[in-house]
Amino acid sequence: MSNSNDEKYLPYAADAEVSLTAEELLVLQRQYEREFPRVRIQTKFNYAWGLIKSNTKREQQLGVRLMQEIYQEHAERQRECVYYLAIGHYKLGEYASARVFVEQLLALEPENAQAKCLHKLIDDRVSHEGLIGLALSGGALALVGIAAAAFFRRSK
Amino acid sequence: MRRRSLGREPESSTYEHASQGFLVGLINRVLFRNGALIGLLRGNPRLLDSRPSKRPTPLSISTPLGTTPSLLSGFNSFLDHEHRPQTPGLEQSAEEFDLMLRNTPADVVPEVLMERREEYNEYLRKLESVRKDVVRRLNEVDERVLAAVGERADIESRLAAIEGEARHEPAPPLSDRASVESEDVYEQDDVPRLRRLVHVFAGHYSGVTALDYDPVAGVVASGSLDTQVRVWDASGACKYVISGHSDIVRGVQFYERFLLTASNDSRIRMWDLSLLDSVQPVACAEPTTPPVTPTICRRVPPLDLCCESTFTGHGDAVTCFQARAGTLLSGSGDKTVREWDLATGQLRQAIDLTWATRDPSKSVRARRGGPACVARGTDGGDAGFVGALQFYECALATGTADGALRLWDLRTGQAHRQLFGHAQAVTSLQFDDRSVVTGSLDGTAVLWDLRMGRAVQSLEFGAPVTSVQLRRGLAPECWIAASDCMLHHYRSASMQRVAYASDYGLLSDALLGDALLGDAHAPGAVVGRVYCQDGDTLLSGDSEGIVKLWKI
Repeated sequence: MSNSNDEKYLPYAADAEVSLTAEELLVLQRQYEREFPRVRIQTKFNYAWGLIKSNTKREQQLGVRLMQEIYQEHAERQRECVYYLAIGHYKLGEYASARVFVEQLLALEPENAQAKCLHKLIDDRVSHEGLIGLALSGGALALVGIAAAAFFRRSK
Repeated sequence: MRRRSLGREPESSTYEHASQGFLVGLINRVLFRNGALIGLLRGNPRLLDSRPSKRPTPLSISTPLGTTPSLLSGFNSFLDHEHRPQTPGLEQSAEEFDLMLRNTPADVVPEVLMERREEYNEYLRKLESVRKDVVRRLNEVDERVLAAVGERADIESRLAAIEGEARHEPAPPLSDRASVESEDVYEQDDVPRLRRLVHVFAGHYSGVTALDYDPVAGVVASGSLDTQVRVWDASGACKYVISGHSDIVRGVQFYERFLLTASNDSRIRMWDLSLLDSVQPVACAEPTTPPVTPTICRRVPPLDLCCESTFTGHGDAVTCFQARAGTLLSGSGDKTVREWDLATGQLRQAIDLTWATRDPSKSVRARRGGPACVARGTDGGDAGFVGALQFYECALATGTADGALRLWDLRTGQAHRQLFGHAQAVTSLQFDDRSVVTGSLDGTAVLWDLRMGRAVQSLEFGAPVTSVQLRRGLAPECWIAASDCMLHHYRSASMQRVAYASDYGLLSDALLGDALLGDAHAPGAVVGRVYCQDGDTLLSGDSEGIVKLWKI
């Protein structure tokens, strides 16, 4: 569908890095609490997306949890939720899950620009951190080697 | 970088990161938190369940993107609208929604439509709050108009007084003009005076049988023998004329934004006042006062569309009713009292009064003297089998044709107390938490004390008492209409009876007309109804169809 490529339909991942102001998030939270326990799907999504966009880890986790609930409860929104779950996990640092979600979405909608962009972002981030991890582990190994060498030299 | 093809099926259970090379993948898995792993370690199975590859309903059959209204657009428009609470709107207009709906696969259409329905409900709620806000502002403006009109009238009267002094004949001082012929009048300081006659509402063709006043909206409703219900606003103009009944109107009451009317045609109808604006143009406007509320007659739906609901079911005339807290109770000539639910329009229970009033030992007194009372009441719209009722939560008080005041418990439908004090049918009653006042066709008004369960005071009038109102104060005060042209006031603390035959402190001659000068009601007119529930406003309606609003 051409609509799925429309930026108004799915946000680019960069949009998730911009957090809402505290008042706006409070408004969303109030609306959610007002409708509790039978919350409308739009309200729940608004609150979850607002939480995912925030910079606090706990809020992001809560947002991802709410988004999972929407995914499980509403079959007609699953594809959208997969994308948002991917963004959520990406922000949390769980790149494995994020990648699984995005690749599932791409399997169904290969032409989706936002999904492709997110996939590339995940890859870049993983390799970036992978290299750091390599460097760290290399450094750790080096340190262990130096310590062992020093120990053996002393024991000689 | 090598990449696997993207055409992997979703059911693959291993998550491989072969695109980065094996070592890096291993390090990713071990060193960097993988949410699913952590969840597993924590023993939280929900995160694992959320992995789409294990779901029973695979993602591939879910609806494609772009066929349902996007959640993101709702998010953006919600945030936009939060900053503009005055104009709530829908996230998607109707045309866009229909377009989208055509592309939606059939099995998901109900859910999408239900989401839309929830949106509309939310929209409706926002509109309600906006409407309340606007009504409040309208009331403020109305009050200011009233104050301004009063000020202008004050200035005019002072001007007239000054002009009168300037001429050589001195104007009679106010106290002389206010002298009354009746021998029962006192002029004491602690007796409330009818300080001013604020408005005279003339328009009914025949006697007034029901009155109500809504202090919030500043409107007066009156029902009459000519089967019309008229709603008057604070400036004295007739706002609406509701001709929805085929027989004389027995009662009117304002309830939230509705007006309930009951009539001898055995129906109680609930009218939505905000819809009446589009039906009725401003019928009659006094030439001196401008219409306060402009009404634009856009389309003319039949009057019945403004009738929110009709409570039918009584077999005979509805002679009295009261609506309170979502419940409507009505008494009728078919000898039942029915309890209705206002929100749904359904009957909750019907209490049959015939067996309760048939006790032979107790009804002997009623048979003595006085004509048998017709179940629907007199031609003047009084009495009836159930002449009057009032309820508060589950306590109901009824005055019936046998002259008895009965107190019922609505939960059981039984009368737990009967008080006999009248020889003829009871026409009106009112209670508060301590006392009850009843008026009857035999010309007496009796004030009862609820705790002691007996009559405290009995007031004799020469003519049938048709309407009583109880005002709570330190001690109960009653306003009584007793089939003459005066308004009677009784204070139980000082046991004083005052009859007002005139109004002290007229607004100005020009406003009223000389014929009405110096009389509470015109000498030929018989005061049929009084209404006094607001602290300082008194309404009186007479048999000529004139309604007067007094400030006391």
